[in-house]
Amino acid sequence: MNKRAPNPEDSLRGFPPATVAACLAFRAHNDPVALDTAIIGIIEHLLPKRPAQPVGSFPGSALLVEDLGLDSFSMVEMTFIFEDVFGAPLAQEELIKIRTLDDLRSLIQRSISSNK
Amino acid sequence: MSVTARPTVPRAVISGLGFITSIGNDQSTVSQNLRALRHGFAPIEFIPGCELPVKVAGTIKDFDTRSPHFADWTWPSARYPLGRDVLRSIAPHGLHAFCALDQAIRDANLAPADLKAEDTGLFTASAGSPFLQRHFLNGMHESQGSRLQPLGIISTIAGTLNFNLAAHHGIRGGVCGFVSACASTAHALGYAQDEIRLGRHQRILVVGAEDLTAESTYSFHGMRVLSRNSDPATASRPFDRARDGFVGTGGACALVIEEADSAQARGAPIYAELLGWGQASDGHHMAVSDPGGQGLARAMQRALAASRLAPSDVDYINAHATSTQAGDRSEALALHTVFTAAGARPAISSTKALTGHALSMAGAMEAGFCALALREGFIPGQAHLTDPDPVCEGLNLPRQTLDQAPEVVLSNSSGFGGSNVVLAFRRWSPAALPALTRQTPP
Repeated sequence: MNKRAPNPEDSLRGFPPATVAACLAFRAHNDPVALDTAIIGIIEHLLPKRPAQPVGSFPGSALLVEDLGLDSFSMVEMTFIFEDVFGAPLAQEELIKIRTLDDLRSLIQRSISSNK
Repeated sequence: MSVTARPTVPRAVISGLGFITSIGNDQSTVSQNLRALRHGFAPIEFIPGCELPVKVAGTIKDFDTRSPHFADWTWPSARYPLGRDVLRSIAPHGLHAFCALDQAIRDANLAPADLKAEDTGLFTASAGSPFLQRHFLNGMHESQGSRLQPLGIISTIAGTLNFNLAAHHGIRGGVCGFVSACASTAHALGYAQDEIRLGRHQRILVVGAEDLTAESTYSFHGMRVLSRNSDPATASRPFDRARDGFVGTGGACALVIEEADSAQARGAPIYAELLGWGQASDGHHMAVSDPGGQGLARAMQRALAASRLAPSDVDYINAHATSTQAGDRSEALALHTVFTAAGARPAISSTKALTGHALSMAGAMEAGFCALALREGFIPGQAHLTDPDPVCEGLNLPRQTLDQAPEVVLSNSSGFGGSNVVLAFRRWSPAALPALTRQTPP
């Protein structure tokens, strides 16, 4: 059986239109502002519980689990979506080191750069 | 030696009900449709262009869960606001179950602290979700293992209702699932009564639910047990000579089984007392009922004995009869063995003529119907019966709903492997039970 290529539209099913638009804008133009909007939007949508304040208003030092409320299952879902949408595989050994929002941003940026 | 008084055995009652069914998504609609014998069937095609001769199902109105992606689902979300934290780990029948249980909790006037009490338990049954499981497993194969849904197991295996409902409501008493196919939730109710009577629990939430999908329905056509009749008005006709199989349905039903004093102290509505129950197996075949109905007859006799009732005390029996040739015949013979032979003629009907067969949730749904009949004072008639099977001669199958308040009701359930469960209910009376025609327990 041939491995099915991930379809970003499928992966983003149910996400807010602004997040989908940001993902598509980044894919089309490599716009770094769109990338950050997309990352924040994806995290916000995958949080099991809606946060008291928008994820975008948290500092880069915010802890993904303790401050934002991500759990291990949402982390797994998040990595699938980042991989499908940005075409950037996130290595498990790197993922387990991530603690903060800025850690995640840098990992995704590194992964995107190395896959160009 | 001092003699101490024997403590009173706690009485188990139904103190809350919730329905998401083909004949209504709330208690009032269900009751109206039961009385009027209005069915919940509609033409349905789970697979477009499907050539299977199965064209009708007991559909769940106001819910659309055809997509494997919960983001696509629609339901009365203003009434049942459920977030991603819940939706990400449930299957379609999990959504039905959350809604039905929400109704039952509100109906029983249970506060969050009551649910979190150490003596509140949860018993459930469902077949899991072969529909969602197929979707996730296809994804696994197509991605060569790189896309394993993190909550795929939690949302799809038998037990998914336990996992999700217990965590959501913070249940700290016993949590258990039951797997006896179409007798599963009847078993859950029976063991819930035992837990109350043994004093181990103050209350048990009992929830049954099933998907209504190609996977959960069409699969039964492999056994040729589904009706090929495309007319929703006659496809399900238990005990009729022309019956040709069952009609599938899904949804959810929730009941609160509670110690009577606790329910009364809270001012909860008390629908009925769960007096006792009985179970027995056919020891005959993995999928076909004992042709003589001996297992079901024994289960009825045991339910009567456990409840200290005689056959003549029973006013109404909600039959299991699914509208298959073999199953209905077997049940009719069992009814003759227990009732006709004793000179008793209770009213009998199978409400599956209206709802379809809800598989593992059937026992809970039909117990819920019995609770409504006992509290509101009516006996549902046998819908869609025009030409009774000769084997039913001597059985009392009223064609119309009887405006008659039953005192004692039985609910029959049978599952694959010949597993039979019978529940006995009585109209609630806070006083000590007045004497019926008691028989001596064996």
